[in-house]
Amino acid sequence: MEDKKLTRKKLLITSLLGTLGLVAGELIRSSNNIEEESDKDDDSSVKYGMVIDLDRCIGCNACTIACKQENNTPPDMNYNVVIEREEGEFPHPKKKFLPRICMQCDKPPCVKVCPVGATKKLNNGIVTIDYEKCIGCRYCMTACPYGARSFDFGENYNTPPNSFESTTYAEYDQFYKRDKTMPALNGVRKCHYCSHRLAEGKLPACVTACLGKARTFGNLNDPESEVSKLASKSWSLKDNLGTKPRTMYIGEWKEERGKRCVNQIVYGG
Amino acid sequence: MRKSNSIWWLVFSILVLIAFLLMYIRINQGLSFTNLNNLVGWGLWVTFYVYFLGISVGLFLSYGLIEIFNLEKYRDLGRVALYSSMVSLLVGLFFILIDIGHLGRFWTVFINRNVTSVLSWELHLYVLYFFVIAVLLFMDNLPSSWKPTNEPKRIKWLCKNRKSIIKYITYFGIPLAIAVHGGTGALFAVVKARAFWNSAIFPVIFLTSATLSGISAIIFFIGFFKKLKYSIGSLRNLSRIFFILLIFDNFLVLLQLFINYYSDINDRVAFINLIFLGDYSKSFWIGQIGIGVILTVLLFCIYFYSDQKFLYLWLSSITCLIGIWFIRMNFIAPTLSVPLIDGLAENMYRSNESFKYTPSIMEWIYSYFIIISGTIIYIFGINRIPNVRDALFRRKIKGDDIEQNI
Ligand code: SF4
Ligand code: SF4
Repeated sequence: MEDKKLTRKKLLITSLLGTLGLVAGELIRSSNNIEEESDKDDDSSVKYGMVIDLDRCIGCNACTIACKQENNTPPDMNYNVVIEREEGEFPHPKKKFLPRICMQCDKPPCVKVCPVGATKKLNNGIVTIDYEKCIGCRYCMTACPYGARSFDFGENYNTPPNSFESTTYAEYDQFYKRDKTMPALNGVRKCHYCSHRLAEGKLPACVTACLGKARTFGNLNDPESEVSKLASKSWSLKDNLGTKPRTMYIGEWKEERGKRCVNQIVYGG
Repeated sequence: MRKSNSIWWLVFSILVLIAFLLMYIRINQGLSFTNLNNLVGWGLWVTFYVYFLGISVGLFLSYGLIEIFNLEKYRDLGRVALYSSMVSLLVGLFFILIDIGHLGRFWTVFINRNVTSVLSWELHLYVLYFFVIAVLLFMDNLPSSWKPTNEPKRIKWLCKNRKSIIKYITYFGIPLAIAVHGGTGALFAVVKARAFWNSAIFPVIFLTSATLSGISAIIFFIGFFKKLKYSIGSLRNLSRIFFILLIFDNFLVLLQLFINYYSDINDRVAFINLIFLGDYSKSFWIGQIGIGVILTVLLFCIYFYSDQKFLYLWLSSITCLIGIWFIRMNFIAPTLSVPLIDGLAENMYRSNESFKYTPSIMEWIYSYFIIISGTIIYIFGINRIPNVRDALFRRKIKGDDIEQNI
């Protein structure tokens, strides 16, 4: 009897200790990693950000085209989308435009949920995706409140891809070519503020291409920069979610999330 | 014996061949043959994954209660439940495997962990949960008395302490199972971008539905395996638990729908409209409410008020299982169909159609294949696991009247 009791106790204690050990080990390992990756040089002099002036946007989609060209993105890969909306009644209807890119959130929900840590927040403010690590679970896509992420289904505009589509392009300081072995295929992609251009001291392609000069890009850590000055009077999409976007807006836009969906069904519109 | 072995060889060879073909297509074409897009990124396969995982957890919890409270009369049902829960878990995990973009990288989730990701924790829990079930199944099938002639010494210790080991592992397994499926619910609940999911009751609904699906599955097995013996008393109790859970589960679902509707918040109301009146209304009214609630309750009432003819309870358990599938389906794709920013869908796809999701034929073919393979493996295992085989074909129950079903 005595013997049996001891065995039970041992079994229970060993399994409990084992579990606790595993959990503690994992927590220590991960918290070490987090520190290493995001806080190390948090005094880095550059924190990129963008302010988009909606009153200057004319909805020409030059940014969309420039982005597609720069990043060689396949169909339905939406790094940059200009959302159009009609407001007001005849005789005073108005077209409103909202360019949407990745907000490079300071508290990015996409980074939190990624099961393999493939998506990370860099010290310069950019949220990156490691194409070699991403398993393509699309959890980040469901978690992003801005629909900023797209899955690369492996489709091309042309089959086989034409000479432009198969050129080499750069993302996150790496070079890629669109073919079967392309790492981004079957993974999730999104706007990265053209990080490869920033490394060369250039502006993101959409900012350079913008006809109405609606986009201002720069270092938010520098209080004298134009973007910092504009940022002080800007607003963010879905501010209430606490994602702390680095892409901000000025100008008027009524947020009517899901309203069209509601109206369409209720009023058959 | 030899004949049956060669039939199994044939069946498994055919399965493996089809699996190769399907995998070849899947690896070559990625997810392009699915109807998923950048708005609705999770669809049929994720629904099935959640569904089978729920059944697994429900069955395991039933087994756990039987084991812990030493309910001798239910022991055979418990054994079948434990084994079924393992197969159901495997089927569910297979669905999530084919759903990920990079099939070949699935194992990397165990080396590239992310402590803030619910999914990362979940995947580890699934493995632990699988081992718990496997060990329990193994322990349960050990002989209770040790024969020195044919067993090695180490087994002696296991045989001697079999009962207490099973009990302690079950104690560990129950909270684990709750974490497994509560966690699956939390996977969705933590997503603040999707207003309908982002509620604390979501994991609770997942757990209740899971328990209900477990009980339904047990009732289903009683009807399906005609030789499985059960006592009238235990069936009566099971039917009561089934009905109470059915009401409680639907009460929680109703609560979730009501609170979202009452809120008047656009995203939430948009979801309600989508399933009540919009693109997913058929799946809601016919599947979830028609089959899952009305037909299930009706059949149960017939069972209850007629002279408790088992057939009706059995049918009721089947309609309930179908209804729970629809709950999963209606809670996943429609939530993703609600536009994140007004006009985003239209400007991404230049059409209003894009936020509707209906699974493609290929998605269904893969799903059927996984389910059929799971069923075949299930039947194969029955004859090879002594206690399950005994439970289903031989053993008698002491006490209460014994009745062979239908
Ligand atoms: S906008 Fe979306 S993808 Fe970009 S950082 Fe924020 S949550 Fe992540
Ligand atoms: S799709 Fe890739 S980046 Fe997104 S959560 Fe999954 S593994 Fe992470």
